[in-house]
Amino acid sequence: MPTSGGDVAVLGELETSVFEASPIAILVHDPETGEILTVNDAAAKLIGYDVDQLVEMTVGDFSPGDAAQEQAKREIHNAVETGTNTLDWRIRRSDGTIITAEVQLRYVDSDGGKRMLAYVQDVTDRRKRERVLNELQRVATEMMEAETTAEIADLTTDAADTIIDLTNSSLRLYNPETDRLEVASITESAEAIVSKDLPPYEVGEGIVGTAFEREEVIFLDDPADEQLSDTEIRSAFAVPIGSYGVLAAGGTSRRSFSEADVEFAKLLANLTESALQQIEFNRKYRERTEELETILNNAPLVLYAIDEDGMITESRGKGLDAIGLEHRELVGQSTYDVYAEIPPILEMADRSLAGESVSDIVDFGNVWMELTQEPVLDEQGEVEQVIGVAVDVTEQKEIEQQFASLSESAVKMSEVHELSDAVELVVEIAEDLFHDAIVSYWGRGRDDDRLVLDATSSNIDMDEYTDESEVVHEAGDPVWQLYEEGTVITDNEFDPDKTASDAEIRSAIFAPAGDHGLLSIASSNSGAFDPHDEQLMGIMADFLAATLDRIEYEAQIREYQHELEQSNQDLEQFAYVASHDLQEPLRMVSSYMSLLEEEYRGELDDEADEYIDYAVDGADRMREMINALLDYSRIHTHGQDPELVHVGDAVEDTLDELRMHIDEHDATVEYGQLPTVTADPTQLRQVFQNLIKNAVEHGADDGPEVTISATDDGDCWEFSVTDDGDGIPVEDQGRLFDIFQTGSASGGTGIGLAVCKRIVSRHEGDIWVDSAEGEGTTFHFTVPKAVAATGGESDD
Amino acid sequence: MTEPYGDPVEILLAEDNPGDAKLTKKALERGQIANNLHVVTDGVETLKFLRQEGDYADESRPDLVLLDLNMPRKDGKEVLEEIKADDELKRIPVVVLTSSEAEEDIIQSYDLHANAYLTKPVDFDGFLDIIGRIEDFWLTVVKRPPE
Repeated sequence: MPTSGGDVAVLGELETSVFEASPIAILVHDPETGEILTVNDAAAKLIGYDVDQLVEMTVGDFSPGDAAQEQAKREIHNAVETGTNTLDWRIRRSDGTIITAEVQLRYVDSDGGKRMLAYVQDVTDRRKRERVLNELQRVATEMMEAETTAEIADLTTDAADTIIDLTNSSLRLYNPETDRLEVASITESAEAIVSKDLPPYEVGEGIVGTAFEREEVIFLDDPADEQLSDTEIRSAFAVPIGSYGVLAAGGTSRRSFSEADVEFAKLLANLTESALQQIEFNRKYRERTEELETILNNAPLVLYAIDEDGMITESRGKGLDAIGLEHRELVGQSTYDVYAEIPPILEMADRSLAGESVSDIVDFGNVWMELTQEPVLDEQGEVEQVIGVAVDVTEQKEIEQQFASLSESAVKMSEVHELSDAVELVVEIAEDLFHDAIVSYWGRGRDDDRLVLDATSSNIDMDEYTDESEVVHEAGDPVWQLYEEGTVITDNEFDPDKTASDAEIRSAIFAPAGDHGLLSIASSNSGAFDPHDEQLMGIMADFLAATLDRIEYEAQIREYQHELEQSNQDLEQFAYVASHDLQEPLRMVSSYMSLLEEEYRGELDDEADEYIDYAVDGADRMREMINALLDYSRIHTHGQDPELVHVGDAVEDTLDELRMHIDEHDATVEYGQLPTVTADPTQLRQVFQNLIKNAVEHGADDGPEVTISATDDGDCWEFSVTDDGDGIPVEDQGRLFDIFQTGSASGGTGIGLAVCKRIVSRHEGDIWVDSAEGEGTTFHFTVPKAVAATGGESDD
Repeated sequence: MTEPYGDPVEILLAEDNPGDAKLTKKALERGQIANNLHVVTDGVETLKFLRQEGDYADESRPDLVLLDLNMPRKDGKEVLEEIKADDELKRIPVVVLTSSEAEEDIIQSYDLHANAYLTKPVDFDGFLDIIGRIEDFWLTVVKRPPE
């Protein structure tokens, strides 16, 4: 049975057993003197003295330092006052070590006297743990606030050193580029020990590499580690810090480290890991944010947001440069203020804020932007903000405008009828399309191999060209060759010496306009023209070529028309003169033959009478021919403007005039429904007269029957005059309408049909015959329903 | 044919074509009005006759002049102009009788104050017809200026 020292009278036997067996150190002392009255074994062990020694001592003897002793007294006094007190008490043990003990004091006032009971627990470790944890918490906060990996590394090794008492510690971080664990931080003490330069460890190498690889704490109690073999380190351990690196600590003696040390180190490693993670996360976050910022700020458009009141809350993107504004001028301003001068924007804002998705193209003066806005609704369905994008569509708009311009130009070009007008118009159009460019057109003369400057844009003063060589390009010179190439050529590095003029030309496009000439634009900047410009020039040059072709063609047509008119007039003039001049001799023959017949009737013999008859008959026929020739000659020069003519009336009039002739032949003329046409009334009657007369003469010998009818042919009326005569042999039909037809068996003047044909031609109709021997003859002719007044009316 | 009646009318025919002259004469012979036809063959003789100059001193002033336009020495238009400019002669009715149908000739003739313009017919029947009408109109119905 263990003996306890001290005053056994204080405790009964049971209490004494309890007292002595208690694992908790118990001291009983005199509160006034501090004299230790009794202790148990646990106390003795705790304090490091024998029980016998202890009962000779005072509590003050193992309070380290005067201050501590003073404090102790106060605490004891406190306990006396209040009855209990719990405090931390530092005890110096017999071997000199200092422990922290938690002491619970109880004041007992008993018969035996006043006693102070002290229950003592070694809380050194606990306190240390508490302290370490608190410190680590503080370090944690510091680490989380750290901004660099280096800071964290330093904080870690400092903490390892000062908080956990791992004086020889180092932190290695994994470098993915080198695939090595490199030293990031090291305590002074460690640095001193591991005296050589610290090389990086490979993954798997040494305790550090192994810890990292295996993701577990590795101990070393053996200096077999190559790296540590020639150092004083005799034991070490390495704690992995996630995938970032390793915290290592070493000691100069074997088994330097307790479990608690390792636990603390692991805790620290966790904190370090968190901190490093945070840094990594922050870095990634920052990088990502920067990436997004870069994207947003450099996007070739404008990204913006406005709040429910129309205030601009966000504005990003390079697109704003085009408008000449800066984002900071916009953010915080109201859309309605900033864009007060641009109503379409205000309207769009109104509509978007009302909940509508809108898109529109807006003119900002020097650029066109396409704005698209989307309202963002909150949970109640109200518009919370509007997000918008603005894209520069100036180029597209310009192209649109260019096309519109080109279309307009095409129309204008089609209305031009002079060569010089066409050329000037093209230069004007080109000047419009290509701002600031110098436009020139070099025309090729008809008969020579030269290109002469015909027109230039208004930004060139033609008067400055005093030298002929500036205005003319001979065959063979560089510009001529470009014309000969026949294709559009762009030269963005033009050598100004190629042209004789002083103009500083560094870019040019040459577009031949067919073989009419060369259209060119030039700029004083090099690289001024792109393929789109080349295409436009090609189109313009083709326009011009087509227009010039058309103008030439028109001129040729006019020439032909003129020649034709001239020819008509010549012919009719000739016919008139010839027939007129023939009248007089005819008159002589005709008149005197008549007189002869009359005055010498009965005085000449039958033979003479017969001679006279033939002569008179010949003269009569000649007269008819001359009249017909005269009629023929006057068809165009004396033609009237077409007017509405009732064909029925015209035929009636004609029949009246032919009454005698019809009666003489005992003919019947019938006709059906006849329409109204647009024609020269006199000439129409002439046609009917000739045809009816012919029909009457060539019809059946006894009572010829003539039929007139009309058929609707769609775009014209077809009239037919039919006789019941012997018909016209096919071989004679070809020359029927010729003016110089030799008299066929049918007789007649032979000019009548030529007159009909000419008149029908003048009316843009057709005339033809339908006949066969023994089957009668039908003459058909058409009069178009709407007849345009043809040329040839004369005013004399 | 009826006999012509009344005092004979003096008619001057200025015509260079003898064939045409004869036809006119023939037609007049067959006409209704008694007349004396005098013929001159060029413009100069026409004026001399009218002015009763030289060989024509004894001739009386004609009641009607039939004037061809195309004559040698002086053509019809010049003669017309002179006649109508001469106070003594301007009252005499002048009927242009010509083969020309040209509008210019017609216009000019009237501008020069011709009293009428007729185109020569193509045959004798035509002549008869035209002369008949001239007689009807100019020599019968129309009041001629007094001497």
